[in-house]
Amino acid sequence: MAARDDGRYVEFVAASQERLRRTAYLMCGDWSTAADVTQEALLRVYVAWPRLETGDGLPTYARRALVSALIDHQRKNASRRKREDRVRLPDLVGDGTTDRADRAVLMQALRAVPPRQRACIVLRYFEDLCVADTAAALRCSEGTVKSQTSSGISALRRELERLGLPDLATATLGGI
Amino acid sequence: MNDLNKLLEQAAAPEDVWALDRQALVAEGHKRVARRRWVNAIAGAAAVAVIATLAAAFLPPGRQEGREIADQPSAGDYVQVRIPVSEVERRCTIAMNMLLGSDATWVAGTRDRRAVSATETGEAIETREGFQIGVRPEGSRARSMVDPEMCAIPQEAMLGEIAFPSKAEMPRPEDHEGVAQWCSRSNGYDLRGWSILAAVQDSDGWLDAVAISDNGYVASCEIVDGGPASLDIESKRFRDEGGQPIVPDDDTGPTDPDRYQVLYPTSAGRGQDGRVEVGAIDVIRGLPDEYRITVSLPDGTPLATVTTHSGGFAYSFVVDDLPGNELDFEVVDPDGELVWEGQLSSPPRPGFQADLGEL
Repeated sequence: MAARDDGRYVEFVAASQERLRRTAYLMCGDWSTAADVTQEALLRVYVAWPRLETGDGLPTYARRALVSALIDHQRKNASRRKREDRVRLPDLVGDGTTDRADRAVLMQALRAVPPRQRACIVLRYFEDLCVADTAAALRCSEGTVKSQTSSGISALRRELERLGLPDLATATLGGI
Repeated sequence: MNDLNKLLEQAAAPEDVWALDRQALVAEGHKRVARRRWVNAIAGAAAVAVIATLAAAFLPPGRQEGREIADQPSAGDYVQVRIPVSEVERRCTIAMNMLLGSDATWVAGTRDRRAVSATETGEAIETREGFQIGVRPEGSRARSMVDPEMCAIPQEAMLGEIAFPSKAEMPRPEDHEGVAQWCSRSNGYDLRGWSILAAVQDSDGWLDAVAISDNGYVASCEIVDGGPASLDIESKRFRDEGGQPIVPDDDTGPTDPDRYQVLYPTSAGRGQDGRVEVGAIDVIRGLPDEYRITVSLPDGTPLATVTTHSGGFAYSFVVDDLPGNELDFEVVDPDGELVWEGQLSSPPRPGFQADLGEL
């Protein structure tokens, strides 16, 4: 078994933790959960570190661990989440003219996109991953990523339009 | 950078200063590794004893060193074959024109937003037979955010057989020979020596299947009458030449919760007269044969009970509603002992197109 290089692991944590947390936030919509999930993902990376360090799959494994940790978190909190889902979310829709309002609306719209589709959108358009890397992170086929992304974009567009912001939908997704 | 990318960057802009305690993280990591090693030591000792006994008793002499298959691949083995870029485009041109009824030259490169041959641009592209590559008609406009048509790179020997089935020729899911036949012909890649792990078909006739090669590689395929298909070959093995599942070093057996993540999901769901139709195949790496899986609604209403085959299983059902798009899974061993229960993943929303192969 390869020896652990804790120094390199710590460097990796320093370099990747913030990006992973932001990715998790876009997937779950909650900074606190995003932090917990990021920590759990990086612990999983630590366990697998000897076999990852020598290859080039470290970022992919970290993202995969993040998605996996998020799924586990949601599974464990499923009953609580269901109760929360029944509570009407505060109206976050602004007038669409400011960045802050756009951000809030986008997060609200993202919440309406099914989790796997949301993950595809985040990995492809926030992490800027190609289809193959997204498939590797989500442990699914490339065909599934393509279709999930396509459906997710459609769902996001519909939701933005439903929220009364067709202009934002067009401006944001018009070229996609 | 496109607008969605910009907006996502803004939406995920941190609102606080945050950093993990790295030393605490490493300390917790040490503990977790130590715990896993302890569990593995016990489970591994028992497994080695059983496997060694079985191997000595049942394997023929020529197989005991585990080299026979690697040296002489059988018709059912997956063997990675890479071909030149020009050959990729030639074969995909034949396949795409056959399947789409077009008369174009299909290319895999882009330059100045126009589709050109990847031999001119020098781009690194997929060149493995059976793997998918995006191609566009030469000279067409390559819009950056629109995916091209996908071509499973055909095998030379299959070029003359490429076709899609008519409605009458569509195989039923239980007709594994027919499924392998049309998966092969629709994609130009020969899977006829592979074993079909599971197949499922929706009410519109779309058929999803997952196949495994003799040497443990897995591929999913989707076929439909009168249209192009899709193929995805997993580039990592699911089991070794001896048929043993390949699982992470820290795996602790069928009760290990890390196993219950869907590795090869394909499914279709759509509204059917206001109801929800779901058809899905899941593959759980390392799940032994003859385990029973019951799929239920979160309120406990059972929807389907299926038996695993090399970790694969298929299920389909129609329900009035699927609250939260969630399904519960219960796994029991052949003796009826519960080994795991929980949620694998969310099924698709009603209304999805079956051809999208949704999870």
